[in-house]
Amino acid sequence: MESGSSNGLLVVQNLHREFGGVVAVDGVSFSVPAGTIVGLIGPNGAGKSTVIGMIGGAIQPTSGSIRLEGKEISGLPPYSIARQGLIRTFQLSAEFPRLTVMQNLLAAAPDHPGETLLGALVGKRWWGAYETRLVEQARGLLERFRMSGKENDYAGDLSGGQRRLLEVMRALMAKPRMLLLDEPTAGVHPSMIGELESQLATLRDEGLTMVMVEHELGIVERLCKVVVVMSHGKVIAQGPLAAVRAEAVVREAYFAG
Amino acid sequence: MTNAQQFYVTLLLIYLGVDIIAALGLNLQFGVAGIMNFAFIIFQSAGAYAYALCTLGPPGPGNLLGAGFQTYFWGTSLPFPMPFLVAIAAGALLSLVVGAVILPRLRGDYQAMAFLVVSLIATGVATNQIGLLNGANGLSLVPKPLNDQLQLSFFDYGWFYLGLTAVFCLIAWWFVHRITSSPLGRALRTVRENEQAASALGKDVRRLRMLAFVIGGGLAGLSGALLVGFISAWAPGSWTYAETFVYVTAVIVGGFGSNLGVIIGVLLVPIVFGELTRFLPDVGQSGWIDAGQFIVYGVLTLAFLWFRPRGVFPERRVLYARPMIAKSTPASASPEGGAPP
Repeated sequence: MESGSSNGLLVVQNLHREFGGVVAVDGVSFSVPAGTIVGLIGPNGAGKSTVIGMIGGAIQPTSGSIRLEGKEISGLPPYSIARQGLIRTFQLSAEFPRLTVMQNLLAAAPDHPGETLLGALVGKRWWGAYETRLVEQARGLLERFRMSGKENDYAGDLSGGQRRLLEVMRALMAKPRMLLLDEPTAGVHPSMIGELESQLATLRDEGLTMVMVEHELGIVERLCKVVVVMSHGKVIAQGPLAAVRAEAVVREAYFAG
Repeated sequence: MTNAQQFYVTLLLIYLGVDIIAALGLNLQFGVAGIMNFAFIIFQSAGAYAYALCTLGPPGPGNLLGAGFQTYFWGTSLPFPMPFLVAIAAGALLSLVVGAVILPRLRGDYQAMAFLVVSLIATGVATNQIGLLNGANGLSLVPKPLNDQLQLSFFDYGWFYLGLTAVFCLIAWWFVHRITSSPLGRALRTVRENEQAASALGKDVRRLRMLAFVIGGGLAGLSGALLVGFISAWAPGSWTYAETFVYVTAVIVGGFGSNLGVIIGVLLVPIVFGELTRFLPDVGQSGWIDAGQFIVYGVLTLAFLWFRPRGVFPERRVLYARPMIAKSTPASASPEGGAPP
């Protein structure tokens, strides 16, 4: 049950969250070593999304600590956590529907010189070169995810699966040090899930660290070296999926019934 | 042109310019950043009153304009163009205060309601606290800018003022266009589209919203100053909450989020449809024609929301050029390398 190490890119310690007396997350601790994907699994209502929400800053923890590279980030607003390179995606797609796919991607770029009032007023000669680079980078991503044909489509017109891919691409445009993926394959067409999975595997092999909430255990088994199993707000087991599966407490809470 | 026609044409075009500046401001707040500012008219009014107070001179005996027949809490006489700058500052400052109270806490319908209530409170205070801004009678005999220096005839001054309005209009257009066509404009639109996702990507949503709100407020203030500088009078009757909806209608009809669209919207809504109701035959009891204006605006809003929600001239799809020659110039900045020099 002990997280074992305090050295990881992300270290979560003794995290608590109550909603009006109901304990949603009760003393959760785990750590995410750099360059790995940690799977956060457990039955519905276990508190997984609440944990993701607290790491991303959307939900304030009642108590506990969240450290990114040793730096405390719990209680910071979401935008400031994002600026430290911790980028999350949402359980329900969160694209910008009335912006094009390209605009969705460009909007994610950090520290854009054209996003200040002064930069905007000075005009393209101030931010044009940066923007051109970003467009190139975004086109590279679109090609990699086989979405080049959708560049100028409004994000709101994409299919559910394409929106998921867009969200992952958009997170990558933000130059993350770490990704938090909340059910990345939910609602994705089966033919596309394999594509998404192999993209995530490649990103991991390139050294990107991720935490992933996922119900499809096949994907978890292939992608995640370590899984954290939650039930009723508590971590009931952690370790490699194969080992965790064997534990009676996990079978009872999750795999049985 | 007869004098009457001259007057009508200049007046109409000046109104057009004033309304364009105001609608550009509202579009930045409502169309681009998604803030339901249903109190927009009070920021225009703040600019109008600020302009009046900065030109009327100190209140009380000794001041012909202030003596006896109108009372106000403070006044001075500043040379052109200072009163206009003060008016912009007044609109922006009021936006900062109202925005700081409403924007961080309320969203959507609740935000719209809160703004509407603020508008009603402002009217109530200005109407009933007579010593403040002369109550329901409002301020009149507001000096026209450069009128004494130029010594033009009444009608020639109208043309001069039209030119002045056009200059302010161009500056406002340039300012807003630079913002909406920049990455800053894109960031504001992400706030409109999905606030949660925007902040998860590192956008400081509160700051962005406040920025759009304050700039919009400054433009509203400028429009108010230009209006009162020409018509020389301003009273609570000129800025009832319903006036906000003239601009809201213009933004919806013209094209939510599109600057060109709102100019067309202003041309259509207050100018074409607003003026056309004046030529309606007398029907029913007196007062019907005035009411007719708002009935037309209401019907227009409903019709557009139903049949063409993106307006006559919608926010256009932004396309990015593909480089014709591979790797054109060795750009000094790269996304990895921070800001350009």
